[in-house]
Amino acid sequence: MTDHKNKLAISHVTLKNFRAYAGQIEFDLSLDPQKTITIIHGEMGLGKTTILDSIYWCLYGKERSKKGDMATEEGIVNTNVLEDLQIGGKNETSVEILLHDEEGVRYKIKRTIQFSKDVDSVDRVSNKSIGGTVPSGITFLALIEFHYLHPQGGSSDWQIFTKPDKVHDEIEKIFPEVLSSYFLFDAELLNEFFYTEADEHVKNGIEKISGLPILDDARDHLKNTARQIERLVADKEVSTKPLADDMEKMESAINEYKEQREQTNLRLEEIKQEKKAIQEYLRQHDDLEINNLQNQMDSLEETLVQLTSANKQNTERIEEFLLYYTPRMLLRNTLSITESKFQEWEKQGKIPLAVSKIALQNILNSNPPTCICGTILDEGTPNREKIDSLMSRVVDSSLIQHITVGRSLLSNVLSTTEFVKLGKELAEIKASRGQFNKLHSEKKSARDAIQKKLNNHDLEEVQNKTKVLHSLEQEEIRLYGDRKTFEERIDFGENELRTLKRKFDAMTGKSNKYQSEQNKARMARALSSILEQCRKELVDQLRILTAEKTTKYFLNLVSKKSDFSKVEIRSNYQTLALDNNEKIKSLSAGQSCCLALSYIAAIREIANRDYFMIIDSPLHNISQEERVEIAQSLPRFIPGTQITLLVQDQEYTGHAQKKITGQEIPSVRDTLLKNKSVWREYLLEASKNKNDAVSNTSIREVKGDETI
Amino acid sequence: MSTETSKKLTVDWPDLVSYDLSNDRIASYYSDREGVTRKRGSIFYDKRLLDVFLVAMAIGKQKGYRTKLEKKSRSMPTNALREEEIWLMTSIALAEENSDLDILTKPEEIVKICEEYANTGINTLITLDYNTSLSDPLQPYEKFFEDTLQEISST
Amino acid sequence: MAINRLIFDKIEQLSVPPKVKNLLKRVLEIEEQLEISGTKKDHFRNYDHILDSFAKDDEIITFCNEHDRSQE
Repeated sequence: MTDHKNKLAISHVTLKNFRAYAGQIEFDLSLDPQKTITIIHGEMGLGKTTILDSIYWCLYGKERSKKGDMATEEGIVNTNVLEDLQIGGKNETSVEILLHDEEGVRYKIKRTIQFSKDVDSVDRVSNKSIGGTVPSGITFLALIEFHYLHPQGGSSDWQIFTKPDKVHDEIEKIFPEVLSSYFLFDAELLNEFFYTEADEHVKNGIEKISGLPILDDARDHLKNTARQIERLVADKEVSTKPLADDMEKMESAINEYKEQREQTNLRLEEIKQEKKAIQEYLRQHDDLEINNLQNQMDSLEETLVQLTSANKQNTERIEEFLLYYTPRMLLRNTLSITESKFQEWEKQGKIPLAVSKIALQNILNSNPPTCICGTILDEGTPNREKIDSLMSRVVDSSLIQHITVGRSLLSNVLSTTEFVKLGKELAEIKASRGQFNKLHSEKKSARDAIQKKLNNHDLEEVQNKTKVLHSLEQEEIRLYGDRKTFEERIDFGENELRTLKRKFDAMTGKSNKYQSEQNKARMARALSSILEQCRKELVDQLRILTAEKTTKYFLNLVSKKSDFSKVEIRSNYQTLALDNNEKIKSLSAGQSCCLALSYIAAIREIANRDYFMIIDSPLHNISQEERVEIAQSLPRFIPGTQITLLVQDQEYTGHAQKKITGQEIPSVRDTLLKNKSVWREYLLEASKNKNDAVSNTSIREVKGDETI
Repeated sequence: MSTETSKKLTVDWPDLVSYDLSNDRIASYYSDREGVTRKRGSIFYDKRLLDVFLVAMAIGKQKGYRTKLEKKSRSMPTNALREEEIWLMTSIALAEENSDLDILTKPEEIVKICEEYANTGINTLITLDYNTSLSDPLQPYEKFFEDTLQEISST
Repeated sequence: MAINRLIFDKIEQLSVPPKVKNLLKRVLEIEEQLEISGTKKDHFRNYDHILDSFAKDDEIITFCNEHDRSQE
């Protein structure tokens, strides 16, 4: 019998007539504990994924994933080989893998489909072992060989198993099919983490791979066993049959309520997380603070309106000033000339003195008496005497009156347009405007700053989130109510069940006839109950353990590790990376890839399987920069574990340039070759037929210095 | 500032004051429909055309020469002039070199002289208006005022 | 697949008699065997069989009876 080994690597693979590969191809994979990476690369469609599929088929006798209807599938046998088969001819499709553990070669597994052509036929039939439709005139025979070399045995001491069931058992012990996606996987699985669809996968991983399904099954089977024993007793003891029926129905109802309670608990947990996020948001965007800011904003707006209005008045003042004083300032000299001319004409007697009696009287009545030219006319002064003398002589006439008024007006203009005075007045008005402008600018800046703060807050969003929070709280209350109801019903059901059981036991215990059955049933129930308790405790333990281990691998693999503190796996199996403030950090495609790989490594560690890892197109959907970062970290990711990468050309040899700096980003190939972690590179090459269609794929080793 | 309604001198003044209609640039500037008094941002926005005329006249007088009008527009009513403004115009006419008192009895002559001075000064106003920006519409006029004030006060 | 050692570790931590622990492990081993062999229909027969072999062990019976009653 084989023993389960903790460390296994594939050393050699041989494919014959398998899908795209007509004829035989073979290649080695790394057993070097230092250079653990083997690369197989080629253009899309040449059979890269087929290599992954072939190993899976070799192990489990079926295809890894059926994408289409078998009726349209070609199956695993190379179609050219099938078509070229002559009547009476034979051939075979096979995959052989050689596996090593720490001590050396340990297993050889070879799966073969032999086929021979009996008749020519155009009809096609579905063939399960081929996984597709094949010409009906061909016979197929499936064979399997499982070779095991005992650690203490010599090179000739191989045990060989060929019976399918036996081989299946042996393989299942070493490579449980449920574990297969943790050593043979592709970009699709990694993508699930990017699109956060990984919850189910993580749940399956933690529960199944860690063995919990066995525990669940044992628990359920024990319960069923107890029930069946009771049923058997009831069948024998007819009077207990109705009771047994009722017990069965009650158990079924209890289980259903338990399931509903579980769902409710999950939803309550989700609500708790959602509430936490919203409350955190609301804490940062405090309603009260927003209202305060809004009030400040309103006050500033009002001030700005007032300032704008005052500024407008200022502007109007300046406008008025300019409109009035510009012509007068410009004509000042002209007015002076005109006044000089009037004075000259007065001297010449062409115009009477520019006075009227009323004007004279007004002058004399002013305090102090002041001439229109500004001269003070105190008693006894010569000018005063002249005025007094004029009073008796002056004669008004309309022309003279008008000239007088005119000269008075012009004199007034002269007095108000003194240059210094004008300059000063304008400067004062402008200074006042400047003050307003400054104040306006300050208030505007203050208002803009508050607006910016308000924009960060987004009152509408706060209101929306408050509504959502309220709605969640309502739902939470309702769910608590539901949960209480479920628990009450479960309690009631279990009480009823116990009562029924007591009755049943009482009825069957009346004689010792069924004592043994009673004991067995009790044993089964007790064991079932203990396993249930075990399971509850283990699930949380495993989830935490997986998270811890995933964190360990993640922080080793991801490039910007200082941005992260840990990985969290919630009770609903949502897997999240947290930053240094323990807030959820959204991940790039590359970081999600790292998270997925880390989770896979964690599960492998928990399941205690340090097996080979073959990954198909792991870097397909991520940026070149991130590809290179992962390539740099990969060798130290799971040291000593054999890693085989099946990569597309673009993924492996593609270069890029950084958008902003234009700096060249190297290829993944260059990066891996530089850090000397690649043991060997293989290149898939296509040969084409006369119609230029791909007819076959071959594989060859790439030399170290070869440019591809 | 005097805001009295105008009182003409003993003889009737011409009803209307004109600008040169033959000059498209000037005519467009004075246009009542789409000229400077209709232009937001202009210092003359919503003011009288006479206000434009008076400033142009003063600028022209300060420049010291007159420009004959080819074609009179006969568009600005003199009964809208204030008394002080009448006397500014009269003063210009009186200050002419060979002017005598009897010009007071020839208001059409006063108006002609002022029209010709305005016809000189209007180009400066048009240039000032061209330099106006919406953000600071008064700036060109302020600068003109300050520069001219400095120039005049230093002579 | 092989029962994860965590489950066995957990069983070891239980406050139950060693015989019950062994019985639990035995049950899980049977479950594993049945899963590998795919003979799911044999569950009752296998469980019944193993329960039979322990049904005469007083310690186990007493414990299970007590446990069953304590659940009521």
